[in-house]
Amino acid sequence: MTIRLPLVHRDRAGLAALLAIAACCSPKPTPYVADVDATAIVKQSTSDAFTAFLDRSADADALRAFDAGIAAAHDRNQLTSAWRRVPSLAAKGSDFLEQHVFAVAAREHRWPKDAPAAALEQAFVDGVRAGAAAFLEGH
Amino acid sequence: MAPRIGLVLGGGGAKGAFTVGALKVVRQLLGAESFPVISGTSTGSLIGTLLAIDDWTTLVDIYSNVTTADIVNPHHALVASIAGPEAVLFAAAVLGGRAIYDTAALRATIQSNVDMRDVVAAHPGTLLIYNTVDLQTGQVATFDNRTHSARVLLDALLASASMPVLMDPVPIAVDGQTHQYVDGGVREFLPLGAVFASDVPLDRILAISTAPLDAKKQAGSFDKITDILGRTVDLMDVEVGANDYGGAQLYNAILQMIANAEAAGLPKAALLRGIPADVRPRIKDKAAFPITIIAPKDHLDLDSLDFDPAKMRAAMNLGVEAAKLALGQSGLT
Repeated sequence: MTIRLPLVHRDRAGLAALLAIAACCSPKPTPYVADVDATAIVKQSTSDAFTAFLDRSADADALRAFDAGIAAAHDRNQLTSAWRRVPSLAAKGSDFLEQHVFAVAAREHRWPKDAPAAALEQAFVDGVRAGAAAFLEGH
Repeated sequence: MAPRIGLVLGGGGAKGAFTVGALKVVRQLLGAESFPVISGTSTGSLIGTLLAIDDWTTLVDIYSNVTTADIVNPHHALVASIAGPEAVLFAAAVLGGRAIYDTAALRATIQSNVDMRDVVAAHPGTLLIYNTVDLQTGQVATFDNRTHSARVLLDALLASASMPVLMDPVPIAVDGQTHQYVDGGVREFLPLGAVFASDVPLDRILAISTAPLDAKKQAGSFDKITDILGRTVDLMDVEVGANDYGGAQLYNAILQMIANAEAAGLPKAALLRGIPADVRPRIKDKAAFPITIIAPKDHLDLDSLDFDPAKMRAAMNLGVEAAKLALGQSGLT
């Protein structure tokens, strides 16, 4: 005896087989994992602070002067001194970096509070440089 | 002292990059790195989660770099690659599937970046509320880090982001009953109601929408059933969002009028006369908050599931500009 499936059932069976094959071929998803360290955190808070308070065009020369001034910086004090040496940046607040960059970064969830002080100072310097560059490039 | 801001974060998938851009400015200009209450829907729930634990750089990193494959993948990749996601919709309808896309990648991405125990620990500093819709009751259902465990919150976060039909409903057991939950945006695109209901003392509510509160104009004929369906859903979304904001404004106005009348010496009993008993708790002893809304001027050139890093960064920049404008107009800067 031949059992004749209605057309729709045969189509469903064929589709089910196709989908079963397709399911076997589907790759297992790999999660996206954010790459965040102390330097990335400082870079972000620097870029955010400049985005909120500075004008990318009007303050570009001042930021370049600041960038040149921190070429040999090793810690936050030297970053702050360089900031204060640029008059138009100093006018935005002599404690601008402390208030809007360093303190904000140090409160973040992934801030490595227990890291050696020298490593953190280096992260502040590298992060501020990278954040200033990112801001000037429009990121 | 930083103002106490209740934050309302609307849905929109990849358009959440606009919200992140706006928050860059909000955090810096208002000096507000923490928020007493955050109410999120869909992508707003994910943003709120990382904000609640102050994992800001991770949040920006995710909305700058994730791709669609990190969030969703078609349930039947081969069928989708041959005939497009619409064919998966057909296949799901024929075979009894629940959605076009599988959200295993989204769950894995959340778990790889967030420890939900930290989210629970963020309360009492921040009350984080996820808005979902319960498919069985049809009602908005909220989950929060004051009431729910880390395990439930993970499921609720996924549910809050699961746009029905596109993504699977998420089963969650509450009080011994398992219901299916989907994206809160089905009923509340801009989840203001949960903030009013929270009773957390605030100075202001800041609501960030990833879309303007009016419909996008689209010339041309809609000839495909899926295009008509998509357009219909878009229009319903706009209506839901406009109602959320309009309703909150009206509610706020009523609360302000009550406060004004009390200040003028009218007794509270007189003010509540004639108000139905089931409505009274919603206005009695509640305070009005100024509401600032940040929204794009035009509809973003980005679909909800279009997690394209270049487009998301562009949306982020629009968020920055919109926030500066809105905060300036509100006199907050």
